[in-house]
Amino acid sequence: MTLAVLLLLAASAAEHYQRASTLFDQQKFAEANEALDAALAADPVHVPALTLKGKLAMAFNRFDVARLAFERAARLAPESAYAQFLLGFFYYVDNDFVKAIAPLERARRLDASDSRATLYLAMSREGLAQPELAISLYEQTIELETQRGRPSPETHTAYGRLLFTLGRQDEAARQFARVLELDPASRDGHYEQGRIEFERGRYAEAASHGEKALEAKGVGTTDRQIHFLLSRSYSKLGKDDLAGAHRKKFQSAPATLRR
Amino acid sequence: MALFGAVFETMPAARTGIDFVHDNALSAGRYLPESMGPGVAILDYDNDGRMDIYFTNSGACDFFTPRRPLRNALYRNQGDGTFTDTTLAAGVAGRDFGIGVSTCDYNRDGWTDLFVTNYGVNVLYRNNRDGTFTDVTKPAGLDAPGLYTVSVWFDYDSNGTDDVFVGHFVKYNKSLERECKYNGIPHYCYPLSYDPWSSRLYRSNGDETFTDVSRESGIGRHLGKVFGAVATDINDDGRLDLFVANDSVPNFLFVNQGRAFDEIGLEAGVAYSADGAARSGMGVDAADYDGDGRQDLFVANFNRERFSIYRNRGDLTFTDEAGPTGIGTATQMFSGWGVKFFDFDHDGDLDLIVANGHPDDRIEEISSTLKHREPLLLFANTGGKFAVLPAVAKDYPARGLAVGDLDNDGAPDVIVANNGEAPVVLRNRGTKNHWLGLALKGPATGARITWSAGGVRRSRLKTAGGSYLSAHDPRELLGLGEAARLDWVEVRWPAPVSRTDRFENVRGGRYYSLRPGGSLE
Repeated sequence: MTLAVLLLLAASAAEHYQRASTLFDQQKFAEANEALDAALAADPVHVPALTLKGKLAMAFNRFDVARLAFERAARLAPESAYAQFLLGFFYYVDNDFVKAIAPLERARRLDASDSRATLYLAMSREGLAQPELAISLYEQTIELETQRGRPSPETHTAYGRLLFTLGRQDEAARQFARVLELDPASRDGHYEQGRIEFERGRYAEAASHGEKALEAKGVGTTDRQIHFLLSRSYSKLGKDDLAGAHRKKFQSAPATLRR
Repeated sequence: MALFGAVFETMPAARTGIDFVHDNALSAGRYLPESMGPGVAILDYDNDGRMDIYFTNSGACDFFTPRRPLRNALYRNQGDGTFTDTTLAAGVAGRDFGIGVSTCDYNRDGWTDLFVTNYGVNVLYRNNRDGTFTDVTKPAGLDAPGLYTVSVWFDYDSNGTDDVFVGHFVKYNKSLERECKYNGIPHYCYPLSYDPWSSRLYRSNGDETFTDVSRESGIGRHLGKVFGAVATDINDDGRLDLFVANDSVPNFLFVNQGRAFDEIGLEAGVAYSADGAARSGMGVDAADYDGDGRQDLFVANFNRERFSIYRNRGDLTFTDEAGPTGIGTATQMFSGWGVKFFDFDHDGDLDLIVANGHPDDRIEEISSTLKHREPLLLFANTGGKFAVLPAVAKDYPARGLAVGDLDNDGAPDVIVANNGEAPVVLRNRGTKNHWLGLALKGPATGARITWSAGGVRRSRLKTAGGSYLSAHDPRELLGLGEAARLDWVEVRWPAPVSRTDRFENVRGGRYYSLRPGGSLE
């Protein structure tokens, strides 16, 4: 056995975890994973190591590994709001909305000031086709964020999208307007406002928001979605060249599939 | 609106005699066609005025060798609530791997013929007018093999004979099957895994043969993954258009220009979701649900996609009203197949029924949110919105759905064909509202029935196809509400007849048949 290995084994779980955390922040994921394995070898019930292990596994699309890590962490630390939140968050991302509810509710009870659990509860209720519950939770999330002085454009976007799918256009428009107040260059905000304007028959405004969305940076709304909006808007405006150009880009972009 | 719980009564096989059980050919490898069927048709094959029933079943193919012989099933209505299996005597057992069914009168002899879509070669059964049928697929020219789903009979060129659209699902054979495992366990692959393929349109030559006009009509130029299709007239120009639901690729809206079709799905706003995603279109229907005189469209999609109810804006564009109508939220958790707009309580408004079931029989192993068996959703039209009424207590792995009046009491009954299980027969208990039934004879798709009852004017276009792999009772049931008589009724026949027949002060509570220029009989 080499000296390095002996030293590694001699380090405590906490030390391995600290190292893993630093490596994770530096996006050195493979090394972080090794350090986490060492931490868990030294202490299999080290909750921070388990939660970081789960986050790392999610980043690498290893949901099977993440599930085990988060479930174990939440079992070991039933009073940890963070461990409960992460388990609920994981279930939400894995589209397992029914399972997401209990840990998110627990996280909310353990830390009433943390808006994240409430937000993911709202989205889980939305995923379960319970819009009225979701609306109430979105409202609570916005209130919590406001109280903490940290309003989030993402929350208003998610809430507005729900209202839009319910056909409550005016209420949705208010949410998207708030998104653009908080972040005037929001890609999501301009895109969603553009969709509202399109539905209202205000095609020039829809196209204008679409063009701004296309210029803005962001990872939520795709170029394909925006080209779809612009193609339809310009078509309605009789600008066939622009409509055709955006249609071509829409159709050549990688297809998205809503499931 | 009838009260929930009082609408339908489930009729057990012991009472109906319908002992058919669908064999879905379930294999360890999970081959795609296993998850698709079956279809069901309601038809009167012996012209005795009572509706009979036909089911499709799986059969031998390149991935499946049945342990015992499998066949489709024809049940003759005995008129006393029971049905007798006449499949073998009638000669309609089918062949290959049965998927869907439609009814027609392709030779205009007044007797209902059958068309069965297969994974393999489809079958056209000509009715011999004596309780038997003859397989005339090959001489008719309809014997191209493939993985076919829906078939829709309609007169696209307005020459008085019905042509047929035959929808094709993905490019498929055993060697093209994909492996889709989750935690090492095979599941049915999502259709995105397979390549699209072209559907076919056959023009009737008027002599019991058909010519494949897929290319020249424009239909065959569009590669799709077709599950559902309905022929309707979206622009009220008297020519029948075709709306086609595709799974995982954009839907098609073929607008009839006379001899050929223009595909305008994208421009019309029915090809994609509101943010440009192709959804999993399965069952479809068309009707004027909001009473504005225009044909609206409905598509049953996959879970989380929400089903679409497209309101016709009158300018060749549509708006998805899933949100405002309540359809979106009510269908968010389900995967929909068979569907039909119908007036279940005869109040005059068109209600809606949708059969659901997750295609993956192992979905519950990987999701606590989704179920393999799903509820039948009955929506009551409440004037701009739809209120969901759970139609029956049990959930099913449903696919095909056909609506028809099995006991001639005027109340539309429902048959749900389940994947890998026995079907469900639901008898409508009826309401106090009045009704009138109309059987239009001759090529009637595209006919517009307009009527007034109690001073309220309503209208309905006779469409063809719709639902999923299935065929409804061809008769139209008109809801009269509290009025026992129609003030008047008009039938505007489609081209080439193009005449209008009008009748006044017509007594309700019974069926009438009508030919162009004839009297109500």
